Amino acid sequence: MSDLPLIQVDPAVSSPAATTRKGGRGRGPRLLSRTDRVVITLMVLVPLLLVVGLVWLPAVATVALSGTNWDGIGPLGEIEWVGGRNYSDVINIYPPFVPAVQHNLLWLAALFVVATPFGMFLAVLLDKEIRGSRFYQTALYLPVVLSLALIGFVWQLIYSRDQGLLNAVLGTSTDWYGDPDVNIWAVLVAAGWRHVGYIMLLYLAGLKGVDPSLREAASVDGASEVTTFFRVVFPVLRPINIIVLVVTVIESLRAFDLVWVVNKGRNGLEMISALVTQNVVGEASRIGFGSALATLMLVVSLVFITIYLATVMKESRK
Amino acid sequence: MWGKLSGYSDAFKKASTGDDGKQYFVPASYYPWAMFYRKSVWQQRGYQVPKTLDELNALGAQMKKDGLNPIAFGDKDGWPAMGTFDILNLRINGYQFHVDLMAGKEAWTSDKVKKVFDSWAGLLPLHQPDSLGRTWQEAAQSLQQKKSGMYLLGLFVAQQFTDDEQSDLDFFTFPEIDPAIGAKALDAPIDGYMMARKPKSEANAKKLLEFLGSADAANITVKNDPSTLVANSGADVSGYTALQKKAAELVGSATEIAQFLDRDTRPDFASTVIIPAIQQFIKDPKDISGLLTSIENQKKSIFTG
Repeated sequence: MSDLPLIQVDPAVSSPAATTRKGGRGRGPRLLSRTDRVVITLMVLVPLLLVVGLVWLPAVATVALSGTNWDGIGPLGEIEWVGGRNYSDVINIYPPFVPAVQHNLLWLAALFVVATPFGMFLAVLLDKEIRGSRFYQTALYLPVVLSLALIGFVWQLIYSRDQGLLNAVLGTSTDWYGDPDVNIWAVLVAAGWRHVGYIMLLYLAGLKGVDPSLREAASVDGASEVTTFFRVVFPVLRPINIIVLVVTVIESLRAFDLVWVVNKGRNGLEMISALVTQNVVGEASRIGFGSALATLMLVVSLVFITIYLATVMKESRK
Repeated sequence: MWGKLSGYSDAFKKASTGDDGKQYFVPASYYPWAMFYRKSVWQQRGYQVPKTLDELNALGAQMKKDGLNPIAFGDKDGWPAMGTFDILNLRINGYQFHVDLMAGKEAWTSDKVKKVFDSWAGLLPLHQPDSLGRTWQEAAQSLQQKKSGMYLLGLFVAQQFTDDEQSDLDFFTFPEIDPAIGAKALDAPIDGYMMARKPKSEANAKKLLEFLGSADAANITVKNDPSTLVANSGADVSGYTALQKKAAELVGSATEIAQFLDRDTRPDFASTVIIPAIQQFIKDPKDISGLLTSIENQKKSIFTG
């Protein structure tokens, strides 16, 4: 009749529990239940499979196919190997190739020198919270949201030689889309119009994150607006600057949609991406040749990616 | 299943036959390429249909004086100019050379091809300027708006004209250049249907093809599209406009019919080599030898595979 049994702790029962708890605190993985482990594995595996299957395997296949003259028809076993002939053809006897490289570089220069700084400038202006800034933000960002096919159609209405708005208003008969000296600039205006909005939004987001006390300190020291921006705000925005730079480079290497919608990338609007599509997709079906062009594009992109990664790695080591 | 089709002449059967003697194609419609013009404009100005190249040049000069674009032209899409090349080659070098050139058996650097481009360079001043920014629809509209005198295109140019304007449209076949060759050959592409090698339901696919190749299907086309001709001779063609009847007669009496450059030659050659080459020629008609050498080099690379 003692009241001890109610609170009597059975030592045999308690010690395993203690061991488990001690073990749990000592070794990390034991903290995760089985469900957690399954979920994490799936979360890693599924995207990995998608990336490998949809990005890496096709990329490797493209590089492999660039050494063949496959036309997309017939069994894989019949593919003929031609080695580097596609590459020598691309560089030596394919007339649109050199203009395409020039145009891609021109696109990069135009975006880098004109569109991106202008987007940044607009972001700085809008950061001042002037009246109607919300309206301006929406208006400037709208081109980014529109589909490129729609943009191509809209600009076609403006640029058409016989029936376009620009020629009607200016009274000229310039062949904006057909004259190879003019059309790349016409398309760059349309591309820049879109790019400016994109950069503006990225930069605005970054500017909002700048510590206001920095700006106050600069104005207390008597710095003008311009000096404040370049000496104080700009260096602080280094991560955003890098992102903006990368986006600019990616957009110029990727430039395809506008040019394709205008005239399928011919006659003054050659771009490497458009050449790849011309050769691989549709009735041409020169898969081997197009793959050689695509591989060249990959190599050029790798150069920029390497530079970017090297810069970022150096940053994180500092 | 070709055995079940009726109403196709031997010419159509031949066009649908592959190198191995089997039929791979059910023709549905076809249309000739010719020089189209508005009768009212020509009557008003007193123009006559030219029978030779010299007459064409004289007519073009007259049209220019009258403030018209002699020949409408729009090569933004790249393929319309192939029609001009085809007809010039057919007139200057004859049907057999044209077919051999398309098959890769003749060299593009040969003098015969150079002659074609030289003639074309001579005719370019009569064509609408700035053609590389103009679609064929816009060029056809310039014909419809009475801004151009004539237009070398397929019968589908009629799509850009309203129903009541159809009777104002007329055509003539491109004039002869070499009297020894004459002006009988023309481009008349045939559109039709094919079946995949292993469709999901082969029996049903064949039934569909039978219908599409029948006179009933052809009758539906006649009722709805005044810009094409039906291939089935069993169809009821009383609904044809005068233009269609004339076109059908033209193709019916032609002895040498080509299918159009991008169908007669390899499609990868046509779209990735010829289109940029012709556009380059239109931009700069002076360096013909350089252009032809470039075409020939690429052709060798593609045709030998």
